[in-house]
Amino acid sequence: MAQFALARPRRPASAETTRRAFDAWKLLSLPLFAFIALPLLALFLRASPPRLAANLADPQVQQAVALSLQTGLITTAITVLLGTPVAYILARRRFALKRAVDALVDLPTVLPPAVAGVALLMAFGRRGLLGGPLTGLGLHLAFTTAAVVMAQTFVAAPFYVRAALIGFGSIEDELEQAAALDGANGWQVFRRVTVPLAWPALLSGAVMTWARALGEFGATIIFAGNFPGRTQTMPLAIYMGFELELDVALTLSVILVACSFLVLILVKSLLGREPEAERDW
Amino acid sequence: MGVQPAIGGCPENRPPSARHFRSAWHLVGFIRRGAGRGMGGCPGNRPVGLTQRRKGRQGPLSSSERLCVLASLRELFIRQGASARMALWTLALASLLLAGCASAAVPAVAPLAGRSAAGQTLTVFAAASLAEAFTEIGRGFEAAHPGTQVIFNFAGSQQLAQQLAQGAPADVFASADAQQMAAAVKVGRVRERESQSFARNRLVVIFPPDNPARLFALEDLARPELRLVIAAPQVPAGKYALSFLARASKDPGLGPRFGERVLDNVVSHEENVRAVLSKVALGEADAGIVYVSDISAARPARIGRLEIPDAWNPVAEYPIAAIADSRRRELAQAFVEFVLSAKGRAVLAQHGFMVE
Repeated sequence: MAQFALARPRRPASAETTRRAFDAWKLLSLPLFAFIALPLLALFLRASPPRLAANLADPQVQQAVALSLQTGLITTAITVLLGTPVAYILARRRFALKRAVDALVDLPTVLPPAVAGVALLMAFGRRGLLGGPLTGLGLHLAFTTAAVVMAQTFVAAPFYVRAALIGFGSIEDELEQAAALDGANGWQVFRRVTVPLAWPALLSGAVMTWARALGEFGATIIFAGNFPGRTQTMPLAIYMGFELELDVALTLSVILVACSFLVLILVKSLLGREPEAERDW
Repeated sequence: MGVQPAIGGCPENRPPSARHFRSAWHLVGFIRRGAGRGMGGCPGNRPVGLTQRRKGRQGPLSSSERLCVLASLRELFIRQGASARMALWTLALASLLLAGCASAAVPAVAPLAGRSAAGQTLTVFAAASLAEAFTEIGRGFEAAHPGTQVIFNFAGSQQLAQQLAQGAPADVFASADAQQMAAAVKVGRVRERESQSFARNRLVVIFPPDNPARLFALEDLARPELRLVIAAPQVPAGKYALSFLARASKDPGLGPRFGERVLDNVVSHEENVRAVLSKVALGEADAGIVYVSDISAARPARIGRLEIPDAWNPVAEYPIAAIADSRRRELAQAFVEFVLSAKGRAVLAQHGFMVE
């Protein structure tokens, strides 16, 4: 950064103005923060601990939690396995239509998940582009746990690819080149230099993908259907439970919120983002 | 662009990383003041670009390097400005197109919106199975009551009842079963004596046109490996489907444990009856259980059907009522009466419902 120091306008600011500006910012940030925190708080207040405990024993709740954890982990594993090469290529190579590929990878994050569900049906459904031949081979995807994983991967993978791309992009080419000069082969460079350096980005990307997979609803209900223990993940159980047993919906919602919150805190502390923000003040 | 030759000397076209960009931002003013203007370009073949300045080689930039950096930055900002403008235009164009499509598809939207400002709107919560019939009845009602706009909320009755319980504003509720109407009565949104039955419906087994599971009789529903889709048990259509299976199970003609064996074949509990229809019409499922009205002559879906004998077929009663706390009670009552009138019944019958 030193090379740009010449242009940085340095205006001496007294501690007093800084503090006042901080107070104003604090005040301005309150509405949105309250708007996000309040509904989540209400969720916890509405679900009383004894009822929560009782609902946890409900087999439907347990099935949904187990299925969500299981499919979420499989989704994350598949994403890391298949997403890493995509991110690496996008970060390192230049090729025709790169921008289009880049946009395509990001597309599922902005699409309504219902669109993802319909698209998956058109591709892998029994009458779908690929689904037809697959059915001929005796492979049924719709209404199976595999379909849940596919829906989750489609929707959640871009979060990992995006994070990994940024991680790889922040590594200096020269470090890899130096390792290669020292005799490391391509895999060794990747394994010993690239991955360790990009590790925080890769980890946070994987965790975000897992969290997004956990919350996947629209694509799942359209592509995988809704069957307890097989395709009914937590969000589906919450949606169906909302109409019949609000308690079940509440319990699962609380679990989901708590899980996601803990995970996000974990990732943020792993990455040590907080201190940097504090330093700015 | 004047800076083009300068860029030529910087072969590194990769966008600078975020780290560069943050500090680069401070340079905008500098560049704007014209510090980079009139530069002759980067020195010959020496590749000097933003990303070439690595951590390990930090030091004062030479003046030519600095010029090159500035030129790339200016190019970057110009390019970004242009693409941002382009993105905005694209967005605006896309929105316009979408709006155009929408109004082309629903030509009534504009006049209706205009009328509703002067007239009144009526919000009707109706079971998903009523979608087409009520849409047509709503048009008739609008014609009979100029200045009125009818807005429908079609969903599974259990979902509508839940929404009513949570205080959703509505004027009329039409449910696919008495239980959900009772739920609305229980939370005080409907007066019990005001609920009247306006139509009846029956179930039918459907299968995709090519009949992949070769379903020829109800017994076949219990055949292993068949993939059946029904509505979830909390949805009226799902509840009726379960009651059909319970009744059929008592008949020895269908084999032992008929109901259980059929339920073993269920691969999905859909959130409303129309989702069942979609899954079967798409060929995802081998069979589904829906209302007769869902595949009536008015909805010429290409789909196979298997009748369920009356003895096993539960009759779905559809009750309708004006919402007790509606702000347009009279209009709501008028709509209920319109549904019950000869005209309303004719439309319902045309859509496969049973009416007196």
